[in-house]
Amino acid sequence: MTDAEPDIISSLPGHIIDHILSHLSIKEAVRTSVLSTKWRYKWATLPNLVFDSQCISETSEDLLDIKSKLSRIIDHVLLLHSGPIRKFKLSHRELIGVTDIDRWTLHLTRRPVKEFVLEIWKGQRYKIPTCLFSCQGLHHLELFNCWLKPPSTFQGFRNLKSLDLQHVTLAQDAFENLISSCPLLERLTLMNFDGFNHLNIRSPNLQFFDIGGKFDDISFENTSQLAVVSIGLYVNFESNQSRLHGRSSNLVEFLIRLPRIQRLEIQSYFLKYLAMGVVPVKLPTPCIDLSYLSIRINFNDSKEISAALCLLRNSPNLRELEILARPEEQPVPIAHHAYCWEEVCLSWPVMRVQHVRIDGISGIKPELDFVNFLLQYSPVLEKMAVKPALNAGPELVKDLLRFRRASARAEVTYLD
Amino acid sequence: MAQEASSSTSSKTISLKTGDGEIFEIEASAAKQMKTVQRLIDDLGDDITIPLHNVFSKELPKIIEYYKKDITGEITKDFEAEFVKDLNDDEVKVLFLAANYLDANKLFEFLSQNIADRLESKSVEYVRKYFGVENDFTPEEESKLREERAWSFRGIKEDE
Repeated sequence: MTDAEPDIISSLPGHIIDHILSHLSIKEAVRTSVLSTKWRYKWATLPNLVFDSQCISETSEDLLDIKSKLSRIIDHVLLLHSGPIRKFKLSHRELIGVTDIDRWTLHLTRRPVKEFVLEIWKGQRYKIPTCLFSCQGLHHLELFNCWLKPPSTFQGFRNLKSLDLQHVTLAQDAFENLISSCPLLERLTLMNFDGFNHLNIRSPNLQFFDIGGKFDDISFENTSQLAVVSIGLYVNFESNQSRLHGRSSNLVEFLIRLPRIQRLEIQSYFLKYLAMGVVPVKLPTPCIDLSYLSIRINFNDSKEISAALCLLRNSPNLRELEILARPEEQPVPIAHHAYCWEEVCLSWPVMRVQHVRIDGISGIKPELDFVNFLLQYSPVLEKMAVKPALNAGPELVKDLLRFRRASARAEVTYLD
Repeated sequence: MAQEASSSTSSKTISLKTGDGEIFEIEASAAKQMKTVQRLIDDLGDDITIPLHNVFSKELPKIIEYYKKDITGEITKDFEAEFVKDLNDDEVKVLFLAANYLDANKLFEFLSQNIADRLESKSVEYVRKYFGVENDFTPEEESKLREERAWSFRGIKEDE
């Protein structure tokens, strides 16, 4: 069924077509060169070049064949392309041998590229060529499965705003130098790294920090802009191994450096780390901007419970809370006294939490006490969703429904 | 007074009249997302029926549907997939042109990507017709270019 105005439909204005062109894959964009003589070089000034699995449909072709095809395609495109390249992304399963990438990187540093994304899906860490470290136009750098060894002449990336490093190898001093010499850095993601295990984050403009890996120690300096933080410590440590490094309280030191924090995720064993040393009842300054908190917690460890409660008590504007129970393989030796809730409840401030999610509880007493406590002290609670652990018994639901709620509107749902 | 702000504060509706004379209502907060409409409201006032000469009764309801979801923050990938699922390429083009005319940025961006996705494996002839482009290559020039870029033509369903 055709419409009444075929002429309006058939021709799109120029600037609109350009806009669609910018959303095409590189393969499709190159194809448009055949549309008409006017279109022959239109694609060549597209600012974003993305080479991924769409470029070559991997049929049952021989591996070497795919590699050389991919190589030729990228050479072809880079040679024909003109104008600035804003973004270059290379992420293909069968990525070619090292020399090609080095050559392309060198070419890109001359363009100069603003966003550089390189993902080496498998095999050894790819050693980033030295030329990348002199690419001062970079705003965003994203590397997966790479080895970074900046030259001694490296002075940082002056314009870098966002850095995303996953599965990377980097020496300790190289890491510290990298972070502190990127003055405009706003976002930092670090996942699964090796070569360094002391994280000293010195970054005056940093707003977003997301890290997951194995480290001994983390400290922040001059990071008053940090608003969103997610930290996962992927290695368990014995309670007698000190992670205090001269501090009296990991929790206090950590929060003092993040005065403007709005969203905080404490994952894996990081709460255990934060609970080392003294866990105060009151913090020197409350976390007034904190509105979202997610904690992975071991309910068998009373220090971790203290740390969680300290956070709750000192975050007057918390709206959303997520609690993920971490089941321990062996229960903590029963030197742990029953947690003293009466002391806690004395002079507990009103909590403004509206949404709570609890995952992975099985119904042991410390868990129930905690949930009970939350329900009693959250007068504006709207929803609480509870997802039990796989081994949770049917009594858990009954226990949960028993608890008195301070909020008449609170809706408690049990997800199984 | 201090109430729970659970519903939108402005429940004012604006009347829009399409090029083919039909009238539709839209919430003022949704109208704000369409810069052309907002400019007309600023000039003509919000009590008058706003005339939209280049948008027709076939497209406008769909656009209103999109922005209704937008103001409640419910636009998800699933919703967007459903939204265009039953539209053919020409219908999407008309919607896209309307979004452009209304200066409705979010919908415009989404439809740009959707059109690009749709054209992904279409033949050169199809794309020419879709964009309204006349082929002025000689057959020799065209086949030479195609040969040079053979890698980009793999996987295309050539029609005609």
